Amino acid sequence: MNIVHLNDAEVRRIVEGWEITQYDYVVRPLNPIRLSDFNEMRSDAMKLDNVASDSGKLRPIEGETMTANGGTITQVQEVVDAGYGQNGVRAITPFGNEARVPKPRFFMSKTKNIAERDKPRFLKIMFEGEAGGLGIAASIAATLVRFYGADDSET
Amino acid sequence: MAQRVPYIFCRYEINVEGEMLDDAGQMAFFQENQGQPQDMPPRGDRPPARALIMEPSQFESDGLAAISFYVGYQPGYRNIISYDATSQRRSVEVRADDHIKSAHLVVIPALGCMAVEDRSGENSITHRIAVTD
Repeated sequence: MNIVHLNDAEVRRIVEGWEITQYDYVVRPLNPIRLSDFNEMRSDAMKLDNVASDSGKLRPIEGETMTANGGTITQVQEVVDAGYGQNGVRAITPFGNEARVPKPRFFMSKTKNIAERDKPRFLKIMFEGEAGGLGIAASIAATLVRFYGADDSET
Repeated sequence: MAQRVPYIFCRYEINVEGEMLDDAGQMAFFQENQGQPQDMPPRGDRPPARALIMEPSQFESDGLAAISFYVGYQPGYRNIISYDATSQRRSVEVRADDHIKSAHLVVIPALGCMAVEDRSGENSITHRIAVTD
């Protein structure tokens, strides 16, 4: 049996489609590419103060969730997609289960960051019930179909 | 009592003698091989561990066939640790054992994706042992 774990596009679908409860990241200044104005300002600010990397943990207001709507998460994601950072996410699936994607090891090298994401990256989802029970199997199957059977517009 | 059970989601392919199996082929594969222990690579002088497929069952989810089954792992031995109060020493004895640890899996053959239970303990194996060893 050959196993293929999460790819970048699938992580992005989680970030853009699920309710986020925690978003972990490390980013570095951009060089030589240009991304959004926000990321350009952040990169320039880091360079001004001789900052090599910026790591953080984004959390929602207690009892609420976050969504990638063009703000901080979306901007960090753009830097990560370009290879200038790494991210990890905790989110709630469309069926209400807690999901986790760990943050890969961060390097100052863009090439190494992208290569690191080619290593197995696990999507772990918690289900309520007894393993092997009918209820949990149906719930898992529905989540699999929704996630892997969806196109990019729905997760 | 209901518990929170972690599952790892991933894509997979089943290749038998160089041929990819379709939905029906996969269910037939699980049915034909269930309960048949397969020896795993030997580990020194310990008895070989064995793996087996257990309890395959098919059901439908959103119009697609889904298969639920267990991957069993039989270490073949157990370390029994005892303590001698007189010599104040512990001792370890290796005994043959047929206990089966397992992980639950749900697969959607048409989408080539699966969820693998990921726990460790007396009765469970991690997803790494269940699908990669």
